[in-house]
Amino acid sequence: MKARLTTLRQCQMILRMASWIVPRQVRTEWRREWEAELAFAWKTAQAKGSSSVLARLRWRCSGAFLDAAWYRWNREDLRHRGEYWSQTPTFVLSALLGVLLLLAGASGAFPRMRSILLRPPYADPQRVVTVSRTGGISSAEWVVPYLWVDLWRRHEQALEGVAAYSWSPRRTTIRIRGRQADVVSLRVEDGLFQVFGVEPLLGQTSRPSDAQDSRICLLLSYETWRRKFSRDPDILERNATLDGQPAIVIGVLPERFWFPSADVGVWRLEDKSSFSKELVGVVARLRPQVSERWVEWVLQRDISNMTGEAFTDSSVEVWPLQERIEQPLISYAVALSIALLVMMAVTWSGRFNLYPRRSWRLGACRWWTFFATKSFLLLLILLAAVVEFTPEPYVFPTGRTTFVMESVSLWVFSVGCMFMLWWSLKDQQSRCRVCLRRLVLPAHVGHYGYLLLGWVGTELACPEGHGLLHMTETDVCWLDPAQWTQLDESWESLFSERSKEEVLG
Amino acid sequence: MGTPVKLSHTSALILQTVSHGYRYGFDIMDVTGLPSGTVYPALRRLERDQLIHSQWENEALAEERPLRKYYRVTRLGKEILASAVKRYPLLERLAPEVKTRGR
Repeated sequence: MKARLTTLRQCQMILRMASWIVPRQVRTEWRREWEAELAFAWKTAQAKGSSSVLARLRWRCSGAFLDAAWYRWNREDLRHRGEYWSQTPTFVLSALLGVLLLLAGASGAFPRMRSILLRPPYADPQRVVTVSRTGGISSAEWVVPYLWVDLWRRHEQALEGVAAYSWSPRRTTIRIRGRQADVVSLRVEDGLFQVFGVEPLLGQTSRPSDAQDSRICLLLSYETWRRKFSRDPDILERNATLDGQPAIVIGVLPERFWFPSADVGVWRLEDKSSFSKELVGVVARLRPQVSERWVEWVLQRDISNMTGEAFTDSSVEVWPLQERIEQPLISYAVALSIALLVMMAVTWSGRFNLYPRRSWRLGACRWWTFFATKSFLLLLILLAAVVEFTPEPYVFPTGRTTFVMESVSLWVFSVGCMFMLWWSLKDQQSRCRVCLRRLVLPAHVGHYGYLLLGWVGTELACPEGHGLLHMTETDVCWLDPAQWTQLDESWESLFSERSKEEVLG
Repeated sequence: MGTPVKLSHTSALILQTVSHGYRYGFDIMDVTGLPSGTVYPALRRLERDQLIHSQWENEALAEERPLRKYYRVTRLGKEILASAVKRYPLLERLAPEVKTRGR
């Protein structure tokens, strides 16, 4: 008897809990119906008295949750609400922001964008330059023999410091205290980071003077330290291996430092002797008040005098690092400007006929603000995607980046710009000029056979009844491609909820 | 102008069951073997589409228990059911026999 009473109480409890899901206006009636069924079934169950009947009763009452959920989230209502919301301008902006957040999450808060746009974390960045040989089209022309670096090092009037780095970054496996990470590593000359004037986050940036052992000295990027080694504060004291060779981490570089690519996670410090027979990339720090052109002339003259190099079809080039980093952005800006000009020309030509000229000022302001915000977000998404996810699109010569790669990302960006702006215009065109909702209920009007005599096209209506958009099916010079007809208040009753229900069934 | 209601097999079976005189939610579950989580939402949908109509029973019938809600098929419901029976030939065999006594 006691067990039966417990079952009844459990069923009542289930119904009470399920009733919280039901909207308040129908909750009382809903609960009354279920409790009446329970009371009736309880009477029958008592008469039968078997435990399986009681269990079935409990099971039936638990189905009340699905019934309650139908009231709250039934598919048709959700679909209607979803459709209604998807027509609003808020939906478009939220969706674009969502995509941007997804990109931020996938890339780790846009590390490449930040490293390009924010000031580099080293002293007097305008004095840090790359020194290369230019003139040829082959990437090998960009590097110089290490012998030249040794000669330039003596030129203290022009350069405060100069250091070489390896032409080829490569994938390596670093292992520290049981944790293994695959990262891109780069061989650099000891002293390179003094040329940059970068302060380490942990440890130091040059080989310890008392380093007697044969362990490889490594510097980690902030991202590698954070992501692969969970910001281990004692990382400097741990034994490490690099591709199986004993190594030691002597420092961690600050957050925004990257060189020569944001993908490099480990720098391997080596002394002069290991570069002596190589072609290398060169970074130098200019003396204050020294012009780049003069340094170019001096360095080229020194090499000519000492080695007899003729420089007939090439020359020594000194290029500020910051300019090199920003160069792809300039290319992107040019591509964007061209796309904007094309789209403005298309808009002004009347092809899109976006907004009625004689309209109220506040409405026009809202209309164009939405268009500008949407286009800006689209372009930002494109830029972030290209910069963050195209393989090294903006790195200066390291042997892995070629002009082709840079042009691929630039082409992707240029074509993407056109597409994004075109989509933004098309989307804007099919929106209500008053409430900015997407227009619905497309209706074909006219007949192709009478194209010369009458209007053939599609009519779209604002879901709130603010107006109709007439879009011609074919471009004819005497017809506007899209014409907006504002509806006055007398049309309101036709677009009321009741009318919509009658029309849509 | 309204779009014709298309019933799923389960909804058609429940509508058929109601039309055969099984008018309470728990009775429908008993004869069809469907769980409450299927029967009640289906009843709500049928009522929303005006294929069935719900009413509270008479106090005289209640006999010291709370009043139950019962469902009846509307005229539209009968028309839709007829077309559903054509669409689902097995429905006639699956549906319970007509209940001989009232509610």
